[in-house]
Amino acid sequence: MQNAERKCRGFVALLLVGLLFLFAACNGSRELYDLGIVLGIGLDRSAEEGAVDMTLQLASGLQGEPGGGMGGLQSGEAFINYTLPGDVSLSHFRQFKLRMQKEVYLAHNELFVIGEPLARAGIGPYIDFFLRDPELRVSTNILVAKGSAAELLAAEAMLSEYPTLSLSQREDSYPLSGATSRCSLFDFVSAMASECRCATVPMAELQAGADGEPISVFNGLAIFRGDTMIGTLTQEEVSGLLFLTDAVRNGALRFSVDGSVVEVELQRSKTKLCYTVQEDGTADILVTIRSGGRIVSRAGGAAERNSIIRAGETRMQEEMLMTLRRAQELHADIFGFGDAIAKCEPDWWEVHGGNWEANLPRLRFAFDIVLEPGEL
Amino acid sequence: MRNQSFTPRQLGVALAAFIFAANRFSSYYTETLRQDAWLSVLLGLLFFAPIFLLYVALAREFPGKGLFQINEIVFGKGIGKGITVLYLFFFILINSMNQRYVADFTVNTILPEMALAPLVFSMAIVFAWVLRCGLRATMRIGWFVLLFAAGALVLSYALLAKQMQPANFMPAFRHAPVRYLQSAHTNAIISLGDMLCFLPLLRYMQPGKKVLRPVIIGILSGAALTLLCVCQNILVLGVLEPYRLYPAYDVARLIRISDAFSRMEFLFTIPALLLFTLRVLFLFFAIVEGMGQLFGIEDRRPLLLPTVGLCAALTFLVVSGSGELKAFTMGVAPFFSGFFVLLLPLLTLTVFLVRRNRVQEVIGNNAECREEVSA
Repeated sequence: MQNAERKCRGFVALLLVGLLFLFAACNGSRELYDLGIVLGIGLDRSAEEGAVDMTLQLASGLQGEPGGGMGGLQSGEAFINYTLPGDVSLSHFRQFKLRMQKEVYLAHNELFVIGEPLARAGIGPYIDFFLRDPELRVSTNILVAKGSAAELLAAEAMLSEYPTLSLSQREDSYPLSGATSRCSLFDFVSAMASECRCATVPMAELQAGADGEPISVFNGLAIFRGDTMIGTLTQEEVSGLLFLTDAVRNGALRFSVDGSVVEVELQRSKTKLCYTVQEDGTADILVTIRSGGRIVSRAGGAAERNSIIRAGETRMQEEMLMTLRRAQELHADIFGFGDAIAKCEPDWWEVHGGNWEANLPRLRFAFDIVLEPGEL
Repeated sequence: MRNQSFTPRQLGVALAAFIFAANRFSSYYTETLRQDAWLSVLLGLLFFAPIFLLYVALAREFPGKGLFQINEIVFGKGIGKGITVLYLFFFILINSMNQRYVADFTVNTILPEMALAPLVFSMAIVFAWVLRCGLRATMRIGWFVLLFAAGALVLSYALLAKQMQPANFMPAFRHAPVRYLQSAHTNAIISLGDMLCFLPLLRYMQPGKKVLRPVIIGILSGAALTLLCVCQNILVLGVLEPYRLYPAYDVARLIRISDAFSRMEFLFTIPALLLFTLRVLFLFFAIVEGMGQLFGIEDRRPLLLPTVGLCAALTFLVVSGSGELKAFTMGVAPFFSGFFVLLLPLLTLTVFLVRRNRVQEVIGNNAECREEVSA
């Protein structure tokens, strides 16, 4: 009896081990060289009616079969860009697969690049596909290309083999230096789901490098209402947005005092917004900023420390006012004021929040800025 | 079955894990109350208190008896077996649905190319194996699973601290009162009420020990972990939370430690799968217990494979997909389950109180018979 039980146990153990090979996805296994590992996705308006040109940037180190190239594409380079028109659907990706003879693998995608003309026409239907795909991540960065996304993805990257990774890493690191803000798919969709907030997406363009070759440069922000781009912020207006959304950690502030250019490196900047709503449907917003830092250059002058600080504080206020004016012109709440008021003053919001974009120019702002640079 | 007895402390741990598992693959908490979903956990606990007292009363009146024995004592053999069939129907149904939740989640997220059938039947083999090991062994691993899941939750809190927005809880208490009631009812009946499956197993609890305290601590611990999880979902996902099918999974997918560790969803998937396995196993034990009582089979082992096979087969039949499952959980289940979770035990207790003398006579006769047989 004991012997039979032991045999039975052995049989079950054998069965389980056998099942491991059957059920652990080995039946549908895909070898590494069967995969087209996508590093970046670009979307452009297509010449075909109702279609978009999707460009996939694929890591080519793994693309080519041993000893040979892949179809009509060049191998030996770090990446391959492949563009096909379609409607960003499963069948669109299937077309890629049929042409490349590779399984399109999206799990390592680092960046979505949207061409400006397409962004102005609306990207909602395409974003929806990416949001639902289980391989893709909602933390992936988004970027708007001034011009064509395909061209931006083709431009050589400095100190990096892959343009996509270079762009994505810069988008991740620039907010730390106050150069631009970051926008992930999650941020973008959160803004779309919000009642009144507009998303801001970094923009990049091609400029001629030192050797004449085009290189990608971040320049300004695209403003989206819902899924449609409605305007832009210039690079000068970006820092105002960063101050108002408490996104500055470190950054350079440049201004002049008594005709001399002074630069302050901001450190540990912290912004707080205080809202006071009025019965007439307007609201007062007190912007409080406390920032440390250090004065890094005082070219051609020896102004007093206090006057440098005052001038710096004034410059910060000017930058914020410049951005606020631009946002009010566009009737775009890129700062999330509406969301914040809806949360802290829900009764007021129910009455006056209906036409928030129109109310945006009626907001009043007060500033309490303290700049405390550590050294002269 | 051999190796069945367990301690009240093990029961408390099992209850905590069972309750915590309930919300892992679902978003029904936030469907109704959105940013106030955390409140539904607390209100659900409040709503469940009278139901819990009902279970305590039944367990106190019939020490050492399981739910199915109580039915036969109170209603008599015929009607008692009929009511056991009703309970079995309920347990089998929720077991199959719970399995479907796990299978759908796995196929939708972790193994998108995997077919449902091999997954469900491989899970069935694991379930059968653990069931064969016995209730005590399953109760013993409860500690490990619970601590692992709680640890993973705390770690994910630390890793997501930067992405949490306390303002996502605002505006608070802005929904109509009926929605709070609806949410509390759903929570009390579905995530807490399913612990009815422990009533048939109480006959295996070691006698002579204080039971109530560890059980209450277990329920409160399970609710506290659920609360932490719901709060994390709201804090991180904000307005997007109600739109996601698996919010806790989406939250884990947002964890990123530099570029080196960007695939951290295992912090959710492994503990969640373990918790759900435990939940399904306790439902299985209740079903096997009911089957044994129904057919008068003292050795439950021959019942294991047919039960597991039946539930695995029903996994494909009860619902056709995640959407339907969610719709059932939100719309029908709170009322459908209410009949089994609240009304049937209430009926049992009421009939017992009305026929107390007759029932105690039956119990006395049975005891005498047993003494005579043993003599």
